Amino acid sequence: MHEVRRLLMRIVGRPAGMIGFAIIVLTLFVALAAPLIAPYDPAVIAMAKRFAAPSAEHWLGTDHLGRDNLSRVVFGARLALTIAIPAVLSAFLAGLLLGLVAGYVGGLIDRVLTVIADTFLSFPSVILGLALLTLVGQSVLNTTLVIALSLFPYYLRLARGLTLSIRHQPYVRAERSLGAGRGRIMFVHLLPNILPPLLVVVAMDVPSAIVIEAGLAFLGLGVPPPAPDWGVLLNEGFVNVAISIWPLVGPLTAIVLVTTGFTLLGETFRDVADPRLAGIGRRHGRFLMRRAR
Amino acid sequence: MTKPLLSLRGLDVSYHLDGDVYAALRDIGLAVGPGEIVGVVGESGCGKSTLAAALLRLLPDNAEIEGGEAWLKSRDLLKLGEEDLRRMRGRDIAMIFQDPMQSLNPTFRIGSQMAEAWRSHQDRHARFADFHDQAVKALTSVGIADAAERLASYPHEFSGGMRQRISIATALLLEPAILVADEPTSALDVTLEAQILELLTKLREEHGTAIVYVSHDLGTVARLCDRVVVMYAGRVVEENDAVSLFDTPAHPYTRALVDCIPSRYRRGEALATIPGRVPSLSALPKGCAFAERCAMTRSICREEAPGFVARAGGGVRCHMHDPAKAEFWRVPGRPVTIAVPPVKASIREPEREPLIEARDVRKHFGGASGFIGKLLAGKSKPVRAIDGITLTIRRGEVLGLVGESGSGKTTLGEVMLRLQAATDGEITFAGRKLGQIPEKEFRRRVQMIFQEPHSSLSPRQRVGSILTEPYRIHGIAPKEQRSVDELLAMVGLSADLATKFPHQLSGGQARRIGIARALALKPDFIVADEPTAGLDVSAASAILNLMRDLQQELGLTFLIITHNINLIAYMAHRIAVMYLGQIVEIGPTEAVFDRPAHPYSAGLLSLSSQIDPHDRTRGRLLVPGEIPSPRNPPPGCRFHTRCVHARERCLSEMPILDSAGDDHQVACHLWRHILQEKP
Repeated sequence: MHEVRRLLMRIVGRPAGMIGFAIIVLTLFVALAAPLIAPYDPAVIAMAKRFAAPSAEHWLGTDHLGRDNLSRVVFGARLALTIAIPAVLSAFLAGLLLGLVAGYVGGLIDRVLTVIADTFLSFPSVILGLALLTLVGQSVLNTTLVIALSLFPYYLRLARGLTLSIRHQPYVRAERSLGAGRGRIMFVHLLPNILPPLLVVVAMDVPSAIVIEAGLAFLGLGVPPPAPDWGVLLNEGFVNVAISIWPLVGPLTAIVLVTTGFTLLGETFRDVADPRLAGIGRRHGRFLMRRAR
Repeated sequence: MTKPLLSLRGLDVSYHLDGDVYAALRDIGLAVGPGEIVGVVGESGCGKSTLAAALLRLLPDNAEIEGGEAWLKSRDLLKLGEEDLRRMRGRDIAMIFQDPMQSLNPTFRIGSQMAEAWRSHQDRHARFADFHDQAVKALTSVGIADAAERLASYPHEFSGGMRQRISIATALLLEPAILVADEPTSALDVTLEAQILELLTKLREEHGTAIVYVSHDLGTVARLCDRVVVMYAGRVVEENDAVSLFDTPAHPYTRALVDCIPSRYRRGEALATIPGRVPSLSALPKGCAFAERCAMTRSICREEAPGFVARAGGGVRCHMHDPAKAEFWRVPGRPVTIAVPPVKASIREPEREPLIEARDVRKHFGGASGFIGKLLAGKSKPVRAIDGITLTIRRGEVLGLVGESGSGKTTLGEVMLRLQAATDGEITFAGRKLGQIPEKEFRRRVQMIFQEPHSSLSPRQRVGSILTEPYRIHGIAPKEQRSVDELLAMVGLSADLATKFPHQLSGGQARRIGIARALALKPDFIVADEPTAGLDVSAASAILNLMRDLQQELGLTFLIITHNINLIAYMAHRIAVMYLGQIVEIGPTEAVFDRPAHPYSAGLLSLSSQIDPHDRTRGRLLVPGEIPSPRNPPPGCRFHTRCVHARERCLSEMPILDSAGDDHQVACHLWRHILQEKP
């Protein structure tokens, strides 16, 4: 726990990390406190006030049914995160474990796992999502699963590649010569070394998951309307873009902001996580890297 | 000395890194006469390579030349414009780099690569035929046969030694007056190193090329160079002709470097060590940079930076040799001396009982396996990394295993520890067959010290955790464990290192941690793979002292795998010489060194880089050519392709180990005959 706090302090200590962290905390706060923050019920229709421009009552105007745009974006954060974060985490865990095993154990297991991963990889994620959601039906859980399925092969591939690149390192041979078993080598020695690059990808994939989810919703196959999903909001906004652009401003800003936040956090994390570069400061790290080369 | 060809004065170079200034070179003076070979030596981090790069102004972007002048052909290299400089590079001054694998572009034929260098120095009407002639001449002069055809070959079609020859040929293409060589043999085996040194000497004789030879290896410098410059923390601390410098080193640093080198003549002595590390170039001390590590330090050394005291043949940067400061060292009735008397230490003799025995062990890699593999692979042959090795190591014995890269040394070490399964043969450990000893038990009793000091330590574990890892693996009760402090103390490290990560350690410290980890389980048998590779001489000598002490106190059995023959001569009870997967000679160290029976061992052992600047050719037996591929070893005696004695019989009949004296065996048909021939 102490280590985690120190890592966090170092991330927040850098401008990019600070901004990313702030955006994500803000997003989480908005998602959790949506009912308290949102000025209106996101589902209440007021046909009289359709396509209102921003005003003191409706900061971001209203949509084609007179619903408050701001409230819908705020509630949308909930949906976005409850789908994106579990989807990415489960894809990450599955990909990490399978990739580690495939990379270290090798042989038939490796071949079977990579063939499965490549099969999934050969479909664009939205197409894969379309096909699967058509089969299993639309729901929040199914959307989450489908996104996880379309992302996990990337993690598997990456974890496997990283494992392959270090499995013949002298320290792994040294562990073997000390008598360490497969499990110990994989989970005590390989795992911490392949984790940082993977976590960076995780942080950067959260926004992709949001975008995939929004994309599916935009195509009418994600979370069904009238839920205030950002993708749904975009879809409805585009339909009526000739009349008013205000329904689009909220979801677009939200997606851009959250994407930037997670990306900044991920990049800072990558810089901070490597003990070879950390602690001695960035410049020293670069100096050492140059010396090493 | 005649008028120098290259004259360097007051060179200051600094590296700038985010606000910090690293004083890489300060007040460097160097004069290279025509046809002279000047050696530049020192530990890593002393500025040798920066000096080499500065001569061609090939420094990285963050380096700044802050002052000085470098006159070559009445032009100051440091003040030339980019275009003039480009014209001079290659034509007047050229460079050879350390790694021949990396300094040639793999996607170009070597002819095109050489043409590139040539064309940039010709006018537009230059004829290709001229280039061709010159290139063939240059390649032939570095010993490449069929030069005209080989111009069309790619770098990967050449072996490492040949590639270094090609880089030299490229550098020589325009017959530069001066050649800067930055560790040109560090990546090569001793046999190839000897060939390259021979080549450099020949170039000097035939073309009068002057050479600035940068190296950390005092042995090769002593053998090759006329004059030597010793660098420490960015300054020249001593300069002299090679003979005087090595015979009577004046600076305590030079003295210590010379005394660090192991050799058979130092058996039973503790090697000198230089405590501490080179100080950081961004925070150099006020006084002498070497004061903290020097055995002769007096108060003045910490207060005042020494000036360069000129002496016959060169000079030295040390207060001790400054007549005005000499009173600091004067002890009534005793002359000033910097020689430290040798510390006696002995090598514990082994017991009679064998600890580990290998019988006709083979390890073949690749080749066809299974029906489909055979079908697809056709006639592909396996790589015979080890091919029939029989070997006994007694309890408490130190056996040295030497041979060129590719002879199968490391594979043999790993097979004996069952880190790789043998293809064939039988290994017995403490009277039991390897297959009958449970894995966990065996792993507790044998250990390996890996070649790479840093990367054999798990990068995300702290030192304390690395050292106790063996206990966690084997579930050893706390009361039977050695504590981290105890383990660190055993290898001479302080307890506060326990919280460090491997990357925070110096090479010598990381190596000691590797040794401490190997000792944690109190093993019987340790395989040490190149225990001093990648370490500076001072760190290496400390490691050897440590290993010798441990052997002494704990009665450990060591198999030391190395290409450093001096190390074996210093440490080992017995020596085994490997060639292409087989042992060609094995016997007591003294006997093998005094009367090497196999022509390969005779050659290899004669190349050990003793510091002896006096007679440079005496007793040196060049081993010609390079080691063949173990995929396709020559028939008969495997060494016959490189053996000057080879006869009809050697081509067809494989020699077996034959007794050549007490405990001394050799695999050669002609050893009696060869030994008799010797004067």
